[in-house]
Amino acid sequence: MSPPEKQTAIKKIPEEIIKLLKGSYFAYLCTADEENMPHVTPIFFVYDELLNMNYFVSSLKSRKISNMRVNRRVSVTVDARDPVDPFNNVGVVTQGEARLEFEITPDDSPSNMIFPQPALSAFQMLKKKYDVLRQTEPSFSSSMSLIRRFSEVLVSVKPMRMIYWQGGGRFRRVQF
Amino acid sequence: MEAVGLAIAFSGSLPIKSAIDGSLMILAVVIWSQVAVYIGPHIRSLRNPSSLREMRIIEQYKQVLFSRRRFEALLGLLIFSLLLYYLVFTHDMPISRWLGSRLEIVPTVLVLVLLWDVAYRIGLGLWASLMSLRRSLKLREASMARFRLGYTPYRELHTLKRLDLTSMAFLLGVVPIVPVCVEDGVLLYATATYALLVFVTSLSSWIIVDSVPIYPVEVLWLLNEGLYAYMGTASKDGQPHVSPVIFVFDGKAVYALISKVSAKLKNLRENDRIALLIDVRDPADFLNNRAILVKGRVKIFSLIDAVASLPRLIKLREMFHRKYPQYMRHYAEKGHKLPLAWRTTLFISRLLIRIDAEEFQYWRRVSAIYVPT
Repeated sequence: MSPPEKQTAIKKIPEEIIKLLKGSYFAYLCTADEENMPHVTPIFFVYDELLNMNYFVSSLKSRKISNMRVNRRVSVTVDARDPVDPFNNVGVVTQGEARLEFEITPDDSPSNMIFPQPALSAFQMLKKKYDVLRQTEPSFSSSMSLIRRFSEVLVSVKPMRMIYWQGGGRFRRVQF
Repeated sequence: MEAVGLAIAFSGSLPIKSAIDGSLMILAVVIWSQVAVYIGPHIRSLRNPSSLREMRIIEQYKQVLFSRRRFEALLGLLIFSLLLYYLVFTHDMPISRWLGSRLEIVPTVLVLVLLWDVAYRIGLGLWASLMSLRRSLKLREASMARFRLGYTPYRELHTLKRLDLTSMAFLLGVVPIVPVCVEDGVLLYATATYALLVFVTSLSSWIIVDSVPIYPVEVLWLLNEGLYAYMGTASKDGQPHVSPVIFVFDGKAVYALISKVSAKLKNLRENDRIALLIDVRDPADFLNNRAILVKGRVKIFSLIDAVASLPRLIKLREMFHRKYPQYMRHYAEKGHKLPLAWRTTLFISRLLIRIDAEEFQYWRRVSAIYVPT
């Protein structure tokens, strides 16, 4: 069994990974519970290039959060697919450590709560990223303004390892 | 009862054969009642399906088995009458084999009670397996007319299948009965008929339940139409991994081809638990995603498994080609340019896996996130 071609371990994140992470609206998050049963959910997320961090917001009651409380290790996958030619598929799998940054209640706003700078920029990025959809998708803006009665939490995922692939069989590995 | 029987037998008034046969019959009764005791709580614990028609069938099934009218006793009575008629009123009076030629009151009552007990248990076994078959047939019929999210949960179907297998244990009770009636052609024939009936009905019932789809139609649609699945695995030390795969669904289970050098396979060999997310996006409405998360265990097909299920493999290959015609064409044309690990050749580059679902979750809309402003 020969290993895939051009498998290289590098420290710097290649431009195409950053482009992919910034350009995708969905990511898939995998967590595992105490019995090591995996759990996969689609998430809305942002990637902070400067800090090399992924951020997303989730309900505190969700399974992914309860899994993270027992096992902080997670995996996040972002991919773009060509429905015709699999050789154009690209994707990146991140393995990392999740941290529950802090809880948000619907009354929170920058004016009555002091957010640390990374969180503030994460919120701004989330708003900006998913605001594009607000103009094109009316249902999104209405749900966006919907205030939930339960608390949510901002979660960060610090990448430990990234694997980037391109359909032609090119693999790249980034280790942190 | 055993003690009383033996006491009477050894007090000298009955032949030894009566004592042995009596003990064997008591053994059979004990086996049968144990089976019934084991099955009962499982039937009671069945939860209601979310499909209304299927729910009624399960409810009716429970009702008829635990009915106060005791239908199984009616069947038992019928069997008892036939048995008694044969034993007492046919010309050579087969019952005299146990009771001798002169009928004493105590042994006669004892034999009658024992015969009734046997007849009742036979009736019960027959009734239970017939009702199972009826329930399975109706359930299957109802499952063909499912609507949206109505379905019978996987765990209930699993319980029903296990009940069918357990009711085959009624056959165990036949074992001690055989030596009792081995000298009597008619009784032996009747016992064999009973065993065959229970076996055939239970087996057919199991096969029919096995063919009931485990997913509601909306979810089936997703499994058939979804193009990509995100496969979540975890290594034995708890590092999760998720990556996209192409898959096919054959009506019962999801199959995927994964590379032999992939992290997925390494994880699955360490830990056979798997989560598979299949989502379909609505291009017109961003939040109108539909997704199903199937959780369960994985079966990795070895070369021996593949040879054993060759027809299925050929069918799956055809399904992959039908579902991903362009992909398969590309792999066929350009596959040689790929590294070996990425080609699609079974066993050389990839392994076939099957996901055996244990539970699933279904989302109809992705919920919006709340971002403080």
